[in-house]
Amino acid sequence: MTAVATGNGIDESSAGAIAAEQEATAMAAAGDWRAMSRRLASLPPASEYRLAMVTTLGDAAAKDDRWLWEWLAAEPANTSALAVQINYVVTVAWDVRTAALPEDVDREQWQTFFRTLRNGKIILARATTADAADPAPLIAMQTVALGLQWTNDEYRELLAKVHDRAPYSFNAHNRAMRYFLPRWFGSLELVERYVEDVLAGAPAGSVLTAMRLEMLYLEFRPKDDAGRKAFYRGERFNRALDAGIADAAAADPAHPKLPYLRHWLAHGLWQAGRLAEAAVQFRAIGNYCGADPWNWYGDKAGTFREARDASYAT
Amino acid sequence: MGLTFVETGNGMATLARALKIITLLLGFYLLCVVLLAGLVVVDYFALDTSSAWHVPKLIFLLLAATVGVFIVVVRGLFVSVRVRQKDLNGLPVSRAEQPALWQRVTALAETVGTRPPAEIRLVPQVNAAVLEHAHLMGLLPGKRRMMIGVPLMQALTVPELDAVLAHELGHYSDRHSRLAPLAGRARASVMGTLKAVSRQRTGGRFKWPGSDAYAALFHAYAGLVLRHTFAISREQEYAADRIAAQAGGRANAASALRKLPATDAAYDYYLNEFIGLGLRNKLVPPPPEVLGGFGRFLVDPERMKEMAELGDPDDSDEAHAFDSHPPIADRIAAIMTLPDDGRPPAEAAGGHETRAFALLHNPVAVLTALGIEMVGKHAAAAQVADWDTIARTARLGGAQENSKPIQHLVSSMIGRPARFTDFLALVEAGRLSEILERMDRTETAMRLKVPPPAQREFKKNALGRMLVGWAVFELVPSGRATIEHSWSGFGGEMKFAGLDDKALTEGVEALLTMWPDTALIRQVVPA
Repeated sequence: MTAVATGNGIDESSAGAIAAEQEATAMAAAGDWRAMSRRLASLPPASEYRLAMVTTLGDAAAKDDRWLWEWLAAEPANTSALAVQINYVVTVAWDVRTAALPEDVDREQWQTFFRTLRNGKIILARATTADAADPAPLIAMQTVALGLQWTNDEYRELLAKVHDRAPYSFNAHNRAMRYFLPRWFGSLELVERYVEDVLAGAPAGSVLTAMRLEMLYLEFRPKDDAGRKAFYRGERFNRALDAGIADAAAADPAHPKLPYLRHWLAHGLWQAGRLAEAAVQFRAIGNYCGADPWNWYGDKAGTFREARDASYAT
Repeated sequence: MGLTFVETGNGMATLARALKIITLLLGFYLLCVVLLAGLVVVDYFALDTSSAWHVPKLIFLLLAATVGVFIVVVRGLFVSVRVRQKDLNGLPVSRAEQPALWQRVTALAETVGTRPPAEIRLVPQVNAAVLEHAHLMGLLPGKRRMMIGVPLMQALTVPELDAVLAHELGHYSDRHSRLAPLAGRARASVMGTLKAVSRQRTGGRFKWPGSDAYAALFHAYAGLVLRHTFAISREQEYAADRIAAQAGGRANAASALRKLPATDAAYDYYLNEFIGLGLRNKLVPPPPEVLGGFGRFLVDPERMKEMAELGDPDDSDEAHAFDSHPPIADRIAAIMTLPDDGRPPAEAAGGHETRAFALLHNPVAVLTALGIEMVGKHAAAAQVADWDTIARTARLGGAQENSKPIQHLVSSMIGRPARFTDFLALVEAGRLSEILERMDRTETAMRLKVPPPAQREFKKNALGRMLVGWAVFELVPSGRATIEHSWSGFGGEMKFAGLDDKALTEGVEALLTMWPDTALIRQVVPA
């Protein structure tokens, strides 16, 4: 694993020492698709561990995809491989598009971005034929759908299939929440309703409360300093933090998405001035800041360190 | 005669303005002469002092700077003369040849309160202007010429053209007018000099020594001149707009202004894509079609929709301190503050007959004369062809040119000249990745420094374009596809025998997916 470490030893490329991600990264580095195939087949289809591995493998393949093509040639009907391929399509497409503002993305990039993403549908069709019950290709498809600007009706149809197969998938709900943001293809009303409906039915320890914190951060945080201060100290945000703390406490310590929830909690508790509680989350996180909301900051390691130092000082 | 809303007869103010501009202009010439003379003196002493020969670099710098300034000054002083010569193009038309147009212009001149031009020239530009060959640095009146752009007549309705022509005549409705050439000349000299300076600094690989120093000097003086003439020319524009509204009606004056940028862009596009496309293949349309085509381009339903979507000129266009015209959005806003004159905007939804072009008598003769002038020196090397031939030749030429790299690549892989079907056979044999591997990385991929999988996607995009070209190059000569001229799309419209228009692009896309499928493209390009 290549850790992008800063001067103070903070890894900016990773959210934590997450076993599923580390295992997948090691397998990709070795190019060992047989090991991937065996390992993924041994896990329950809807397990967060498997879904996390599939995502990490897709990202890794976008850097070097030789093992993926060997795997697909050898096992063309393996839905794990096809799910990795859809995730790969998404990451390659975003490498083509880059994170630049839309007006700075040229025609050649847009054409290639959309053409690359359109592969998703073909691959999903193959995966559905091979095993319609596997949620992993469908969850991967959610990001293709966002990029291809699917309508709400098309998207909800896909989402219903995902929910049937993996009702509490962190990635599935997080992607759906983003799709329903006003900045994409939803509205404040739609995204709030989606988040609260999901959380009302989610068991404690699903770590899905991270989604509510992200929504509040992205859509309900005022732009001005005074407004922000009031927002972070306000009742709604602090209730969301309390729910998040309880969710984290109830979660399996090995849940691959638990560190992602902890980043939201640490950041939120620090902003809310609940420093002692923030320190608890920072200690559980360790020296990693490759996660939202730190990714939104220009100097993410600096901000992370500042927040952590302030929390530890109490 | 004078219109009440135009300041007239304010002799003192005009004189003061004239003196200001003359002083600025003389100052500019003086600056040039002093700079040049100063350098020559320095050169003289430098060459005269024997010790200076020990630093040949310094000598070289001084001499180069002198030559540089000399070039700049010559360009600056003579540029306006050249501009004036170039402006006199087009077709002079007599009262007998174009009675309706002359009558219109004469009537407008009377409304505006100025004498009509002595000559009308029809020009092939999106432009209308009145030029006066004033004497004694603009203090004495001279021969007045009106230039009317035929493309403008093709785009505007009659009342809109009235507004535009009244605007131009309006510049002569008081004594501002004879100042305008003077102000214009001052601006042109200074701008010409600035251009010459900036060419020396940025034009080639060679940077003229010392150019930064005299560039700063010219920039400073230019700023002074442009600021002082700027207010005058803007004031004149607003006054002329009020006259235009009087003549053509408020709504028509505003809509003419609104149409100008879109018409200008459309004409550039037309010349580049339609006339240019032909010339690049050594073909020209018949003379009356060179300009006549633009009239039909303008009334093509798709193009009309596009131009309407271009919409209002952007109000965020910032007024540049050196612009002689205020932003169009500001001018429209100023016109719309005038009291409503109850004259509705003229409809231009229909074809030629609703455009001002219909004012021309014997339009084919006019189009022919201007078409010959436009094509000019290119005509000798080019052949006359109809639009369909131009579209087909250009599309086929482009298709062959664009697909050359992939044709070469496949030929080298199979060891003989390749046809499209040979490429398909390679794909079916699972060798697409090998083809992609052999292709050069695209410029975009190199610029973005993306990893190999994203590089491959960019290559596929380039390959897609080449494959479409290759297919066209084989399909059209064999009669399986035809290319017809279309005003809506450049490069002509392609039709396939018994197939959907999109079959080719869809077939190529299916080839380039991560699970390549040749079935669809095999229907379009059989073996």
